[in-house]
Amino acid sequence: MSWGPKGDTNTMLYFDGVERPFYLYKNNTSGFFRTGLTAQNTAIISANSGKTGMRFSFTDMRNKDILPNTHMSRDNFNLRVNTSLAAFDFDFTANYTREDVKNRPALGDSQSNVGKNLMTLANSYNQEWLKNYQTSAGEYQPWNGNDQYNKNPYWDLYKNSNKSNKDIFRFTAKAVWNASKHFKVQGTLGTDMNNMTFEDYIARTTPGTAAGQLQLSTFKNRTYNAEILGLYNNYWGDIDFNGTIGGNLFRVDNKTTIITGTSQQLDDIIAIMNYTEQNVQEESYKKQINSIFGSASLGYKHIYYLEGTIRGDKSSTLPRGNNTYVYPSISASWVFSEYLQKKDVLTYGKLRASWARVGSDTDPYMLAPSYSTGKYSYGGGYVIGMINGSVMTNANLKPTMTSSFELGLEMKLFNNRMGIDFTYYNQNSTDQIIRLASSSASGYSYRLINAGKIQNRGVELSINGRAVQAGDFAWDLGLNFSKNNNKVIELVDGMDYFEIEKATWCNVSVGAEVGKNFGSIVGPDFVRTDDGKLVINASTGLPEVDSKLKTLGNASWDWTGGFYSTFTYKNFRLSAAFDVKVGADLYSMSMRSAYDTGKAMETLTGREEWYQSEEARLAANMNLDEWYAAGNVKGYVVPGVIKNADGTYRENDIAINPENFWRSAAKNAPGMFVYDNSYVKCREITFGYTFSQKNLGKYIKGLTLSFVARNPFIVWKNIPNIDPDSGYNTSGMGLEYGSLPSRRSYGFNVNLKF
Amino acid sequence: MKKLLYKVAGLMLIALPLAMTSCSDDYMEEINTDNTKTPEINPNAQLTTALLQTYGDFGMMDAYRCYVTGFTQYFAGGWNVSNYAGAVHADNDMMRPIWDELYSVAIKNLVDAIDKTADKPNLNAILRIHKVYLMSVLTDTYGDVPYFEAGRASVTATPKYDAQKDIYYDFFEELDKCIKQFDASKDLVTGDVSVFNGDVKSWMVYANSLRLRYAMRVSEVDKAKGQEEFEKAVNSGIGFIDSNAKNAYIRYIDGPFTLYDGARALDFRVNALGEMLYGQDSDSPTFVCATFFNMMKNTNDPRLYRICRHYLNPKRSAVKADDDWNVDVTDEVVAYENSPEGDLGEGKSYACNIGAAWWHNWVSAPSNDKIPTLEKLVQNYPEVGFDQSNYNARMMRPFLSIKFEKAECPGILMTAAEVSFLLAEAKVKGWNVTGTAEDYYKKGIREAMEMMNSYYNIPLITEQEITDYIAAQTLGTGEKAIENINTQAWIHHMMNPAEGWANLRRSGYPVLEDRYKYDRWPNDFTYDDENLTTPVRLKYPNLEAKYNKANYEAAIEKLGGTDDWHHRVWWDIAEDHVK
Repeated sequence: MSWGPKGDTNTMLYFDGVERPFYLYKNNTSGFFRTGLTAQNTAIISANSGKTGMRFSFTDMRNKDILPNTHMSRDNFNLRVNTSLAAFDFDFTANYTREDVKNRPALGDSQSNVGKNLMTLANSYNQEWLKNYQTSAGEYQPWNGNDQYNKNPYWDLYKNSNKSNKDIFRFTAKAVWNASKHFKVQGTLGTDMNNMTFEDYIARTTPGTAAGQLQLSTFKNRTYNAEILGLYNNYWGDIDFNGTIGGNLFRVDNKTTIITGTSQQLDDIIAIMNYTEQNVQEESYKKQINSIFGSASLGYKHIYYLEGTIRGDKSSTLPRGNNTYVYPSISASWVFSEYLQKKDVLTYGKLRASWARVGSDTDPYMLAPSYSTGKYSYGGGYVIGMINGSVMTNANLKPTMTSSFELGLEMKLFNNRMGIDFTYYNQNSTDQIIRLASSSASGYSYRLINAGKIQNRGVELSINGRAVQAGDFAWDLGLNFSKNNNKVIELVDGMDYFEIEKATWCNVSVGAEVGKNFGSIVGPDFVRTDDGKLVINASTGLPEVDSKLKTLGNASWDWTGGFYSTFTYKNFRLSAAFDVKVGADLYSMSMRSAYDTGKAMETLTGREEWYQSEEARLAANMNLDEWYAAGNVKGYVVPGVIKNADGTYRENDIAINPENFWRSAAKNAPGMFVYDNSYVKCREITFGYTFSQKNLGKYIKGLTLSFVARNPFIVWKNIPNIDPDSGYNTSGMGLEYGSLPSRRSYGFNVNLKF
Repeated sequence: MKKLLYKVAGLMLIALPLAMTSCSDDYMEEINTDNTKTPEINPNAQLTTALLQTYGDFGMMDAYRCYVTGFTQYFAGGWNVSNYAGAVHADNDMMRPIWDELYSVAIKNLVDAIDKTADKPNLNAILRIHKVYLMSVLTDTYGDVPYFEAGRASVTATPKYDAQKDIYYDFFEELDKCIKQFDASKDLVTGDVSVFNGDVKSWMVYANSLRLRYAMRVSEVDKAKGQEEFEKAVNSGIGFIDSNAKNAYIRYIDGPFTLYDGARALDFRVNALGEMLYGQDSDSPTFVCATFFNMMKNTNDPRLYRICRHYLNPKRSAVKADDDWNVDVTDEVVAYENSPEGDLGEGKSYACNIGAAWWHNWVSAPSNDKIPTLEKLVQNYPEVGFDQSNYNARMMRPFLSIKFEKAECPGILMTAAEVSFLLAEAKVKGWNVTGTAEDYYKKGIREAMEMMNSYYNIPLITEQEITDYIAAQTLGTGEKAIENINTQAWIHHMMNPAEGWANLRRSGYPVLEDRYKYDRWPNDFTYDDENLTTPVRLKYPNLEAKYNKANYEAAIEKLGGTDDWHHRVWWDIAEDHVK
């Protein structure tokens, strides 16, 4: 909390028994962070002999994030061998990746979100003091009145820990039989095996988990893919023909085991047997899709093309009778530039149009309710059992069918110096399988249904070209623009909204509202007059509250775009890339918190007056009501109006403690912390030099040096204090809470070829 | 050779995809089966879950603590109860847990299990009785709520809100049918974690007693129905809970606190009401409200210092209610209070007033030497800070004794004392009940005290104390008798706050403190309700307006157009008394 009178030189006794002055610590949180470092090295060996080739690469990446005591490393080994034997070609790849992460940062309203916890520190509280995170007995040092929602970040990073290790194996084998000039058969087998362990340790005495907890999660994820494909091509005069027919089998088999130990017995032993209670939770995710498909394409004089495809899928996740679905597509294109005599202006031009239907399935096990036993045991022969999950299953699911229409124009101008690409698309899903939030009075928070209509349409445009070419100097430019509307057209049961994401304890959710783009930010607001003024309660001086839900903003971008520019002079190259995003709103819980705790500049208005008024009141030995009656109260007058008995309004003139207003706003009027999140950001600047061959001697085949700056600066943004890229969690659009900003990084690349 | 290869290739191209897609539906169903779950379950396991959730759900108990225990003026002074009930601050996220949690776990599973137990009359009846019990908590809390269509998403995802009257009328029918359905020679109930452990006779008696409760509940608004149902139950010959040995409660086990994570993982094994009142962290203990404290003090109620204790507890465990670091200094604090120095004057106490947090209306701590235990602790454990951070001032506030906050405390469903008070009131109302109101009233007080002795491991209330206290009570007649009976019922319902609040609203007694007479603390809490009188229901989850629109709007219409928590529920027509 940063409310209260001005800081001064008085001292205060702090939690660790040290007396310190009470004043403002500027840039308080920066001292917590360190400069991050990422190093990546790659080595590649390749060899060819006759029809046999081999390539091996190794990449090692190490990253230290800006948070202390965190670490990440990734090693990747990749081997590819290809060879030919008579009419057969073979191609094998094997890939192994190992990834180790220590202390993954927590997000959102997690009690361990470092950004959030540092942000809510009072300005008079130096974060350095938190380094005394433990007592002499190794227990949590209480520092904020045991507020379990804001844990000491040092404790979280040094005493608690989380570690993950991931092994990923990927194998593919492909055999092609070139049966004749026109016909070949191709078989592919692929598998992706992913084993991950995650160890999450919460030490005893951690607020909220005082008994201590160790959680070991094991993820065994397997994906298999097998495909056989017959390819035929031929031409007759001006007609080209390509045909394929094939079949595919896709299977996922994932298993998750979570072992949780609660109540740690001996400190500092991080092993599951050191816990008085252990429980195991198992989850499985299995599904299979079998497909057959075929396509035929015809071309005429390399000007007209027509292609048709058809695919049939059978998915294990859908019920008998509805589990097989067939969907076609058709597309045509016309290279109209072939009709031009002179091609120095329009070098190439193509118009394309396509229509397609795509069928899709859903997650496994959603057809019939299942039951599970509780994670915990009551003993005495009793079983804690319940209907599994909070999603109402559906025995009559149908596949989602999405039809889309697309129109495109592709042009190259001035002998390929300039390119234009334009696409319009309109996608409509009917009977979309949707996990619809429901009234919990139905017993389920969600139900899986084929519901409503969802529309997704938009345009994309990109233009790039070489603006200047003068001798050794060249200037390349590019820009892109896209606009997308993704909205629910219709839902069921008269519903006009469903929640997708929720800001816990703030009464704010983000969801889909019928007729509007995805991402409506919905929450309560103060009572307002028709022209938007706050209606002030004549007895409290605070705005009247209204718990009805209103739409406070929308988290979809109106449009997004980007541009890049590259200068090349001889061996030097300088390039920069920018991102533009416009029109999305963001509910900033960080800003909400800044106002709630009196850290935002605006909360100073009326504060000094209030404290002077309070001092005067105490000196006069009057209580607040008497002080009001005497007309002596000074402070913050909330801009707004008071309703008169006759229904008209008068300007508010009641002075109050600004703290009371901002804390009420934080609770009751989240719309005050919804900001336009539009921005222009510089994503990357690169400056490089490629050495010419003659300077390199006979052993080195190539050398490029470059300096790269990522996220070097924000050109423009509307939202105060927050990085517009901030996210609440991995999926939460429209929400933000104490997220660590995107990292600015500077790097040096050396690319050496032997 | 080449031709043969073509044929092979051609065959392969046709055969392989066919083989792939010919996977039978049976095979696909096999893949779509979750081996970690089961398609069928013994409904006894669902009964266990639904029973345990009654008091085992930490999230739901938070709503009890923050609103119900404050509205009833049992407790005051903790941050949570002051912030919500004390400030009359309606926070949707705090009002919705009772609704969300019960419907989405217990009611859903009970509905499902009831449908599947037509061939198990005993289990079926127990499931239905407990559904009645939980639905009464829901309708008493919110008013009109989904009942007939609730928990049946497979039939409707937008259940309509039923009138509370229809719900209560159905309770009577359900309880009737269940009682008739019991047959000890039929199925054995194995999932019953109540004290009855599947005993059919006990469940019949308990169900018959619930009829008394619900008959009395509707008796203000629907006199004829109340009397008719009450007399039917009394004269049914089934009997009712007429001794503590027949009490209905849920058995919880000893274990560390489950907290919110536990509630999310449906860990309902410990009594979460006790856990919640102990506090989710070491700085959130529960203090007894001055209303409650003074009521017991002014009547020389021997329960006073069984319920209220003074603790020094800066280092208390956040894992479970621990006796070690909640150092009990009650005797020393009381001695100090009775000394001239500690005496606050006539009619004043150290207990927290409604609406005030423990640090408001500041009371200074006595010097350490006045509380010898404190002095010793400060000397022996200087690092703990017993006299730091105002822990010694906090000690002056009467806390709720941690004996009521233990993980294994029973979860009270219905007791002999409650039945006695119901019979006493019926008698006062002139209904056809044998015995005298005075006898039932005194029997109820005795049962309430004896139950406290046997369930909460408190220093026993002696026989002498009980006799003396009862001897000092006179029931009176008419309105005074109703007040006396329901004041005793209120004290008794402390550990069943839902019933305490419902009976308080139904009867209008005891006479509680007028919230308007007490301060607001705008620097600590948000006062966003003009009307400071105690709310008489909780508001519906506001997302109902989105997900169950038509039905929600119809319900709101009946409330007068807004989801007003000062709008009384159907059975609540008696005047509420405050002084």
